[in-house]
Amino acid sequence: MRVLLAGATGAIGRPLIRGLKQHGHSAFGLVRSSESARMLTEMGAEALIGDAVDAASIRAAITHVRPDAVINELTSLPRHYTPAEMKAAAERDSRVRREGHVSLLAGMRESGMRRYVLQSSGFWYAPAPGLADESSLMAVDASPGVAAGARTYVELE
Amino acid sequence: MRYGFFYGPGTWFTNAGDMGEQVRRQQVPVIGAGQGVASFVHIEDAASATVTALECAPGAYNIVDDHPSQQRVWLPAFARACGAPEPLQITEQDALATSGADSVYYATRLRGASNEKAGHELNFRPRPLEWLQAGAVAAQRG
Repeated sequence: MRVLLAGATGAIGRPLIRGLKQHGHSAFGLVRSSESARMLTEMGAEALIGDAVDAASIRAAITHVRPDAVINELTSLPRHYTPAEMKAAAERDSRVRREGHVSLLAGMRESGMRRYVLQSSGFWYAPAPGLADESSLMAVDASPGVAAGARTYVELE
Repeated sequence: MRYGFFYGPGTWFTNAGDMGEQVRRQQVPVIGAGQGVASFVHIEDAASATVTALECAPGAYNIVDDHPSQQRVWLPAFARACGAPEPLQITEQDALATSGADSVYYATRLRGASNEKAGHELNFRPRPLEWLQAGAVAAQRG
């Protein structure tokens, strides 16, 4: 399968590229810099230069690759996991996820592709006893940062 | 893919990662009763589930490990694994003033998730969270 990965250089991007290769898939990664492109090439994947918030670049990548599936792992998270840095990064992170998602889906529709795998959250279910299953509600009424994040995931899904 | 908190190489939650640094500086306290339940997943297990998902039935899947745990359990265990001192304990009120409402929410209100569906549909078999002792995990079930 030809698989285009958006978010190819993040924490999950690298093991994901390796996993795709191990399963015999052809891996294509969307990256922003030539440095990241080099890293991806060294891992045996093909790199395409593009940006989550540049719709034209995403559509061009899809037209070029003609993938069978797209995996969206786009995020824009800070280096330090602190309340202050998370708050500062939240707007950009949300924008990258939303705009990247819209552009990827638009490109897929144009090319008649149907298989899409999206990053969402299993840790922001609304408070209730026991463990949440996939039909449980997300924490859209939580504290401000959590609620905003949960709403983003609900909208994307 | 409804992932748990990523841990392992390249993530925040690893000895060499940002949370490892923070717990060694005792910057992450147990807040209130620390009863919020966090679902973690190793980054390699998350990646392999995602590859499997390319050929599965459409829908949402919780990609979390088998034993979500309360903050008062996982945080001290993570700190020990990182060679850090025991985390400090602060009240919800103090945490609200110093770290804000989201930090209090994470520590006291989070709900854990079940991976039963991913187990059936994706044959998902995540590794156990390396920081947690078996006894501590057992105490958090139910």
